[in-house]
Amino acid sequence: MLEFIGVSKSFGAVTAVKNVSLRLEPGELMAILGPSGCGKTTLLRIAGGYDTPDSGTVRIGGRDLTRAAPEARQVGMVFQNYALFPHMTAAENVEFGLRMRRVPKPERARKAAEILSLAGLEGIGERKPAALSGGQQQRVALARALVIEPSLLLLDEPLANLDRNERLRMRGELRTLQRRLGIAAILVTHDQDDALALADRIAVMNAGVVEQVSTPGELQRNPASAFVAGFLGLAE
Amino acid sequence: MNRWPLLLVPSALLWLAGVLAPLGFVLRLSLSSSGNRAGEGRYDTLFYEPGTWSFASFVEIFTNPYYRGLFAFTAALAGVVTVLTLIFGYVLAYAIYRAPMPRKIVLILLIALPKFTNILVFVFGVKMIFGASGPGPVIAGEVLMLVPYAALTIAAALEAVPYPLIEAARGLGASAAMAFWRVTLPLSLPGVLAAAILTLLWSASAFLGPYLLGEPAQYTVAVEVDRQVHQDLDWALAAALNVVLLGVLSVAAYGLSVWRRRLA
Repeated sequence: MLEFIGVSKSFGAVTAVKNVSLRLEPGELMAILGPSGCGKTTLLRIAGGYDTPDSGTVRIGGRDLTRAAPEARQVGMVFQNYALFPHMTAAENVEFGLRMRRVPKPERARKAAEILSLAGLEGIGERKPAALSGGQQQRVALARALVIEPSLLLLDEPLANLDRNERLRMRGELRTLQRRLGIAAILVTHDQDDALALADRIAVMNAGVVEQVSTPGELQRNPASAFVAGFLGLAE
Repeated sequence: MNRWPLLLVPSALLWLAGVLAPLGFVLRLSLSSSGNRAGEGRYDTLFYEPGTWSFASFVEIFTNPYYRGLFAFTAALAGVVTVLTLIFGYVLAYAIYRAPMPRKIVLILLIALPKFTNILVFVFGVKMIFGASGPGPVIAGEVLMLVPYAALTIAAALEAVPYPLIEAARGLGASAAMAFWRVTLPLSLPGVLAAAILTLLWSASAFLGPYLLGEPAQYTVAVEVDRQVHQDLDWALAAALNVVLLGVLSVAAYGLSVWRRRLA
């Protein structure tokens, strides 16, 4: 579904991502787990086309999209602070991607209503983001990313700004929704609990390098390095 | 105890003595009869008749086609200058918005730099580049004077637009131009309107630019006020011109700020 082949990216003297190769299967949810500054968000931004790698190749759905602009990718992204458009209502936010695709108004409204109800957001379509709770904003951001029927969903710390109860509830909803739509997704997080609870496979990153890619169970049984074991809080 | 209102006293006094009192005087003056204006240098020349009440100056302004033309020209000039200033100011503000950090500061300093130039030196520069006099140099001079203020006002509004919003728009299928049109521009509109108010007020009461760079055909209401005060010596008419200009500008500024508040 998504393939990174030898991807590297530097910002000035700082190497954010070093020769990363990863492969995401259709319908898979992969967590990229690591401490802040490990390069996980840069990797996500490269997948979305928000940053261009210095070297390496990015393939989405078999096509080389290494240098394609974000609007040419059909990829849905949920930003860390949701990046909802504050001057638009929740419904207008969700319809934005359809509008850009010149979907006629009645169909736009129908699809937006459908996805809003799927995300548990009936009746808040006319509200502006400022009038929504953190959890609701999160759901609007998710609905906005999903309504364009992307081939790939990118989630940047989607649960980081939620309180504990919202967080546990969203974890479940996120997983259910992703399974139900059968969409491949990458979730970037620094929280091992989120990664272990949500992901089919976890890629642990440290200092721009992927240290290990495994299922949650395998990761806990056989951490590949002292860093992985330490970050997961496992005794050696 | 917090005694912050005390800190308002100096500016309040200054404002009372420097703005409100003269304004009251101008208002009273505009409602006086014109003096005899028998001739310059005559010992009994009166600039206005103290103690009289008269609407004659206002009647003159609203009925004499010369003054209606003067106001129409002033409004047209202010309109053209405001639109051009907002366009140039926005482009400059956007450059500041997108510039990386140390260069952002350099840009802001460069924008402020022309303000250190003496106004006459500046005017002669404009004359050399845009022509000695006429509508071209008047418009160019006004726009050049006002762009820094507009750019800094709009830049402040743009800085409040988080860049991830633009990225989100791109990710949802918007081209760079579309993301600007649908997200950046609407979110920076309050700043644009603030700049519009500033520019409009300034350019509608423009005096130096039209006077130093224009021919009589480009003289504005402000220039006419100066002429009435210093040459025709009809202070009542000069004051009435001022009051009408003030009234029109207050209504325009109020309208723009209501629009702005509805956006914010």
